[in-house]
Amino acid sequence: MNIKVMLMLIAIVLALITSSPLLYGLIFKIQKVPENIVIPTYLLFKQNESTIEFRITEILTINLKTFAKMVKTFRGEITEYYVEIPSRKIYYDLGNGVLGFSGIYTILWFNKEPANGTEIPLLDFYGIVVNVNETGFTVLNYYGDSLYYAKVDGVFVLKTYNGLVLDEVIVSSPRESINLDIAALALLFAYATLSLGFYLLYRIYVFRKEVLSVE
Amino acid sequence: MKKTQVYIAFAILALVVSIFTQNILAFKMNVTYELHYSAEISGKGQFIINIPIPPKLSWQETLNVNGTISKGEGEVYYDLVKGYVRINSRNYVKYDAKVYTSITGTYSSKDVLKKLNVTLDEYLAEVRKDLGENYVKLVGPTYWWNYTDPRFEFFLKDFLEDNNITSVKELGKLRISEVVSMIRSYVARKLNYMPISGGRQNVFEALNRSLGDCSEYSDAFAVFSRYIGIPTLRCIGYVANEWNSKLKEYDIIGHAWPIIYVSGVGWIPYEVTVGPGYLKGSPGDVSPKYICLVIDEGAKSMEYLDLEKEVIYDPEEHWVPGSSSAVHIDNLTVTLEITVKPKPQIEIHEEIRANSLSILVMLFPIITTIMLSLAIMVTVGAFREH
Repeated sequence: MNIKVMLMLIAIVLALITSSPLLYGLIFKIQKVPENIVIPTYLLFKQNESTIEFRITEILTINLKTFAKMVKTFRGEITEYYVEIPSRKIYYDLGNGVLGFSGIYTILWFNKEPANGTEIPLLDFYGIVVNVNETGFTVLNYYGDSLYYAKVDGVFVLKTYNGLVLDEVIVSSPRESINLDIAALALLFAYATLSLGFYLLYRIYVFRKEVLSVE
Repeated sequence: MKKTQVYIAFAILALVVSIFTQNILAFKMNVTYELHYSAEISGKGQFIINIPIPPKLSWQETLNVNGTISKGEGEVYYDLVKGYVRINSRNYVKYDAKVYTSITGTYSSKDVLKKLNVTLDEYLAEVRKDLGENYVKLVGPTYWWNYTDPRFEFFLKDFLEDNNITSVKELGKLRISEVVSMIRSYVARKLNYMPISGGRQNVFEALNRSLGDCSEYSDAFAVFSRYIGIPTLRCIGYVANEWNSKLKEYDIIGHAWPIIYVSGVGWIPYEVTVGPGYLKGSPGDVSPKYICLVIDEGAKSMEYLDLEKEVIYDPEEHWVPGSSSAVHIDNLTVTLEITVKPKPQIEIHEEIRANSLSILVMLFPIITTIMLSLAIMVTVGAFREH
């Protein structure tokens, strides 16, 4: 009988250990970027031999704010920065895991079309939105240049960047890196419940043994 | 009170508010920079030196200085409005600081545009009254903006002819915004942008050679505007250009640009350099990338610099505050390095802490479960020999 109990307990222990990564995986699946956040994860602007590439490599949620980590490649030089969504604010990684707001805003895309006549920040200057329609909108910037944003899979993407034409764009809803704060709390709760259940099982067993011995 | 009356009252209120806000509207973007200072000063005996930090201007404000003397001994005092850190020491001192400066990028400020939408004569009457005795000092000829130099006459005549004007008096009837724009256009036509090494050139030599960079563009503007009677000074500072992901700091560009005085607003910047990467704005427009470090009065050479009263800088621009090279003034050797970053705001390493925590959280119930299992097995006699 003792060997049977031992085997049963080992089975329970194994089941619990196995459940840890399963639970972790479950939380990972639940915690992803909200469905309404769709962003261009890859942008390639091209003109003759000249190219500029933007790639989103990571999505982070910090203090309930969503950030996309951008990697810009231009003439072999790589610049990394973070874009807050949907405010378009550009943050830089200052080292030691700290971000600082640069004061400038990305020009690359809009998650939602702004209203006609709105003044919007673009890099370190601004522009006025004109001609909003179903396919896109135009921004007349501070320097008098006309910037056209075309609707691509629900996102408004810049068509030309410093004379380079948008050659390739991938728009998707990227999966967020796991929200570890929530994961940790959820796991704590799950394991506390399981441990309590296991302890109760043990108490029942002891109680049953006592009853049997009285009989 | 009837519903209709309430609606009318709200409509009137909204109209009044919109009219009021119309006058102060501007497109603004704010950023706070963290400037890292590392200053090393050595000399013989007691010395006082004023290290420049961004002074208070209509678009910028230094919020805080967090500094320490890391080597040597001395006293430190700072003035956030005038823009200096004063170090009083002997023989040798090393001072490190983090300076937090807020810049408000401003475009199309209705307040400024309204002030510049008056004739030059009206503007001059107002600034003369506003500045009192200081007015003469702010428009007079100086070492670098010397319009008493005989060469200036030629360029003044050229400027007037270029704009189909017979005398400077005629400018008085034009709007001040037009006048400064005319000077800017003239300077842009006369000079071709080319980075100049070897320090600041004489403005008339630069105009004759038709070559210059921000130093010469701003000097050329200042000499004309001061002659016309517009109080003009010059900012020397930085443009926070591209972000350097490897060094985790901005690639900064040393820059100079004129500032003009407007009654009721204060000093406003006006970018006149026509070159790559510079603002092409109206008077008063500010890019959040521009940080003014020193206000240049155009009057001195470094040998006349009074270190106990003025901030250390080189009017001849052979040395720029922030460069890693040393400068020698009187019996002092000064090295002043400045790096620029945005102010730290959001910590992402909490994610890393959460990661370690989650591993612990995962391990805790596993270990507890094993311990409990063992306890049960011992209790039920699973290891007992039969």
